[in-house]
Amino acid sequence: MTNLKEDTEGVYLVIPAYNEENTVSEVMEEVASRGYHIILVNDGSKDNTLKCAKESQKKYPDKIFIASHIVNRGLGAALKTGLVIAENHGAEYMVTFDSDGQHEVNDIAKVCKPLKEGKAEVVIGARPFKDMPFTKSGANKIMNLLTIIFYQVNVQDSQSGLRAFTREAASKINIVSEGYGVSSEFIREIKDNKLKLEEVEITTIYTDDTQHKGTNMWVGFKIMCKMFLDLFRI
Amino acid sequence: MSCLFFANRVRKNQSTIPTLILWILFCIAVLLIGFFPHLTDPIANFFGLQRGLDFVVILGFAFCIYVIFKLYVKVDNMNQDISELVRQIAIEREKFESLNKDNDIEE
Repeated sequence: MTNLKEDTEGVYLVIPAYNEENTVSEVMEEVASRGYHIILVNDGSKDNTLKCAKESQKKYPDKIFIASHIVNRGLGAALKTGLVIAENHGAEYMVTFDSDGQHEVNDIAKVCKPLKEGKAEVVIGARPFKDMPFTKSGANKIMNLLTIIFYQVNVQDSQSGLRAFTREAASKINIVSEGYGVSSEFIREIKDNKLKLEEVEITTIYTDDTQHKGTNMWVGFKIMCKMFLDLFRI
Repeated sequence: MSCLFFANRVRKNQSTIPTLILWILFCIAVLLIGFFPHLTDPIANFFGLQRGLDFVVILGFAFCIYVIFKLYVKVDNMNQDISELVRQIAIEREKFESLNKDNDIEE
């Protein structure tokens, strides 16, 4: 038990959620039961996500904190809100975690390990593309290629939702992008701030829910347009 | 008509006099070019174009592109402002709820 407590000390999970009433409670309770702190950011959900989250909060009142965007602002905006709140709560390590149940809870410790050992300031949990459905792996490969072209950084999985930051690294990262483009923006910020990056292989659980969200070809195309327009940002 | 519209806005303090003057000049220019399209020929010739109207059309396109770009930047900035506003509200509310929770536990 002592060991478990040591592992989760100072680790705050930032979980953005938009219309995830089916999975959010299960994900939060599983994570909270392991002793991690959670900052759930309800991004203006139109379903019962907030209600479900509050029910879970009653079970783990000292572990779960809920912030709510009054209108939907996108993944990037929700992550930024979560990171600021985690910092306010005195988080030492911040982990971004998807609320759709695609991440394995055991992977949290895996991504935090290089941070705790001082080997890295940012860790990205890379999903093996061989486990992905064809359309997703295709879109993600294209996104990796675009990340190389636009930001000259070669990473195994630029669009992964599981990332871990030290407190200092998170405070240096400035996110402008509001939608899914945020994943590529994290890479750019890591490069611009010269943060030590490490990639750790993680498991991805593909369910019907996780299939419909995230990076598919259309989202990929939109991110590409955004990356291009960001070059002209004044 | 647009001049009258802007004059009315100036009267209601919704627009400034320089904006009104700019619109009056613009309307006069449009009217002049409409009635005497050949007026633009010398300028068109200066830029290597045959017809004055071509010059007007190209100018119109350039203006439209400028407006679209300007609007894009404006909308983008406003989008970020809204996000910041929504974020601040979320952070403040969370802070308030956390404080309340702490007080409840203490009680």
